[in-house]
Amino acid sequence: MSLLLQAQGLNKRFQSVDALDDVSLTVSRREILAVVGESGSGKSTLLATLAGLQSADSGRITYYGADRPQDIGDMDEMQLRRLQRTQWGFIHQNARAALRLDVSAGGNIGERLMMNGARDYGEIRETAARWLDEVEIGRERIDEMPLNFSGGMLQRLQIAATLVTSPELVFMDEPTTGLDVSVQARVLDLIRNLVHKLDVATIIVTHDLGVARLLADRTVVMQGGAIVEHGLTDQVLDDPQHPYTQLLVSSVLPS
Amino acid sequence: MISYNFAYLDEQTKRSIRRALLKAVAVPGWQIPFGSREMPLPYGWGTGGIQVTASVIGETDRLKVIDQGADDTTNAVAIASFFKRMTGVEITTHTADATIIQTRHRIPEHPLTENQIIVYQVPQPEPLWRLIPERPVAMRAHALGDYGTMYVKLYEDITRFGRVASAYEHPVMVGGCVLMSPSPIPAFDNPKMDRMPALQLFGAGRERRLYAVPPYTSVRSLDFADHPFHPGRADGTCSLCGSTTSYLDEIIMDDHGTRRFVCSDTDYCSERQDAKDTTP
Amino acid sequence: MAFVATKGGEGAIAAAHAWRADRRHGNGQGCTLKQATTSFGRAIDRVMAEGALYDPDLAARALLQAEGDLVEAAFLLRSFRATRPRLIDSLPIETGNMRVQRRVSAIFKDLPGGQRLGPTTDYSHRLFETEDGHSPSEEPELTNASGEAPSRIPGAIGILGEEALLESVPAPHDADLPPDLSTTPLRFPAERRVRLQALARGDEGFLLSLAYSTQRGYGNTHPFVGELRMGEVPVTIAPPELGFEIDIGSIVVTECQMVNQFNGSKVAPPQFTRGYGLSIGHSDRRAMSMALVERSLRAEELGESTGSPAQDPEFVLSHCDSIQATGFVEHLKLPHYVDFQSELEIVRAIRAEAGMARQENQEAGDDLV
Repeated sequence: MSLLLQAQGLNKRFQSVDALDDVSLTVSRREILAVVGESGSGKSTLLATLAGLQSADSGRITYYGADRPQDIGDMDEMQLRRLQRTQWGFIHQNARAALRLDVSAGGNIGERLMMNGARDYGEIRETAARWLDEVEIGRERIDEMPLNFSGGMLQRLQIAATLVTSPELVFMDEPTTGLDVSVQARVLDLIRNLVHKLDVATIIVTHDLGVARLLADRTVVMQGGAIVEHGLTDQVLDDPQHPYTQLLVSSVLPS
Repeated sequence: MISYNFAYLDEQTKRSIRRALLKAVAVPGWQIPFGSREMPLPYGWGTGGIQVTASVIGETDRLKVIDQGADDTTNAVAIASFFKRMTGVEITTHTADATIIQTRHRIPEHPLTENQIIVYQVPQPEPLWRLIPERPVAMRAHALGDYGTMYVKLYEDITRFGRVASAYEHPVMVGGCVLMSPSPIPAFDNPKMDRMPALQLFGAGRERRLYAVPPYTSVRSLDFADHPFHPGRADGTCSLCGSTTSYLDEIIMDDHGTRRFVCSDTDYCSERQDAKDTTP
Repeated sequence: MAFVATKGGEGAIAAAHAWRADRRHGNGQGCTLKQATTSFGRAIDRVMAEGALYDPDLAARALLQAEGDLVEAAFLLRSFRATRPRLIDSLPIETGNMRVQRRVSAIFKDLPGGQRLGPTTDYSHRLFETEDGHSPSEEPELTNASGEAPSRIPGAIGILGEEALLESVPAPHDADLPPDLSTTPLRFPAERRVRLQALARGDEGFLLSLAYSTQRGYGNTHPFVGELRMGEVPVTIAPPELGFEIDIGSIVVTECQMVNQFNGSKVAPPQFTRGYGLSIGHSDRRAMSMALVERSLRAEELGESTGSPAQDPEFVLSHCDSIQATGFVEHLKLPHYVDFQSELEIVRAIRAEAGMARQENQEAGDDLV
């Protein structure tokens, strides 16, 4: 598997707290990487930094895109934005805030296509309809405003609106947190099927080890802004080495 | 007795506005902030257009002022009389005779030439304002060429109404890269802006922005390949000059809703009527 | 000395009033009641609207007493009204019967009854007038605009209604009288006729700014002025013991009917919706602002997206009253030293605790960063 994203020595301090403490990691093409830890462990800061939404105080992030490796820190805003709207995607925990609730489901999915130059209404609409089927909302709801969609439907709509351009790398920030347990399972199942089908690499931040176990090839464990353990997911969760990981694993019911 | 400089504003102010206009011409469609002054007409009445006209007008210019296409509407008359008093230049109603045309909500029917400047009064220079009310965010979208939201609006229009629902102020892409508000002209007038030989200047006084479209610049109305831009006009004939191609106003004749159509461009209409009178 | 006067300073209060009275009289050069009545018509109109009482003479008196402070004058008027008995409710005024002085429609070039500018500064150049009271422009002699007496003119936007392009006016609940905001508290959700009452006497500046915000993208309503009219309307009562109607006089009002673009969807046809504004006296600004805000408060009812300040009925209606607002903002200058004293105690206590904790940490080797 070839390298897609590499972070080296990321540091970030908020006031006097280390949000990121010498963090290095890699993600390969088509790989799913989970970042787990408690709230305050720095995992969301790490995700936002990797996705170029905020900058680190030091360290570098290299993206091995189609043509040549690019240092995220060297990109101007325009290049970064282009990358974010074409080859990358970001799925937020709060779908309600990420979507446009006064724009139809079709319009929400179509936005990313139109942002990238799609100018044929019929094609945009057909693609949106196909994606609504894909995420099990159903094409017949294409003209509905998401205002009255359930939490699970909103999250599935956000997934469709992000994956519609077949990005190479998707960042997910606690995508199932806040959903009912039964709904979580369905959304997770959907994510798993889609990322495999589309061969999209994924970095998923979660406090839920069950999510990591279900989805991730590899897992890194964060505590106090630092990676304390990393490895294949099964290895990390079944045979944790670091005391903090052991604590995390022992505090969840076996899945 | 208080006296005023030629064209009301002092020379320093006029120069600063002209500098902003030069920037505007250099980056077609891009909104340039400028130090808009309080004018003796209220904001919303065309203070931006008046400042632009005041800063480019000279003693030998001939000025035409229209509002809704007509020279005789109250606001047009008030602005024309202001310039008459403050500059002494000749005021004309003939499009072809004018060197500067200040307009609100229309482009004359008569094609403009390289020797003319058209000054648009603009209430809202930001084409994204309905979608992104926060101006710094909108400015970022322009800088990054992020116009997806604008297309989302068109998509929604077609989905809900079967057609693009903006009948006026339909956004345009200038020089293939900058999204611009054409000011609240009817969609019917949008195609006239494309590769127009005249210099087009836009002034928004209250919002303190200027922008420009240099002669012969490409101005395309936003649309979809399978839903091309369609400039509309009332399906009727001018009851005064018989025009079937000009933009028409609807006039209510009585309480029963009887109506007739007349050209919105009064100069175009009267020229056609005169021509009819003289040709047997 | 001045500080002590905040406590039991009867003498200080009397002196403050005397100073104000002296300032107002301006050495005998001050404005007389008659001058105020004739020269400050628009100020009087605003005082009557926000004071929610139609009485130009009293409003002029209030204006003088308040040294031209409009909110203070409206306050005087409203507190006076509280002392008057309520004899009878008039019948609703009928603006269709207005003796029109001014009437414009922005959506038609011409229409039955014509466009009448009336007394307006709309198209004047804002230049100072010379000493003799005339602006340097050639000011024409007063003529009766169209050479005829002010007359009754049909409404401009009825024409749209005939084509069903305009939503119909919601039928009035004539069974029950509308709740009177001057005697009943505002409750939410507030029905439309309550909202209209609150807006009608709301602060003009507040309404204006909210209306302006909707025009800049914060809750846009796509407005057009369908019709703006100003003139006198008769006020009629129908005493139950008499069984017939009596005109008891007339009042000047300004009415604005906004017509707002496109509502509707694939199921409901596109239609124009209405926003309504009515102001006592002559104030285009007030009536138009009210109409914009009124329409914007209907966003939820019409299924539009909400979230902008002008679309939040509770926010708008709870804060639009200038007299309530000025009272509560300005009350902060009353003595609050008892409350402040208790705050002082708490801040001192917290600081002392924090200081102690810091000291302990330092002693323990400062392992907290």
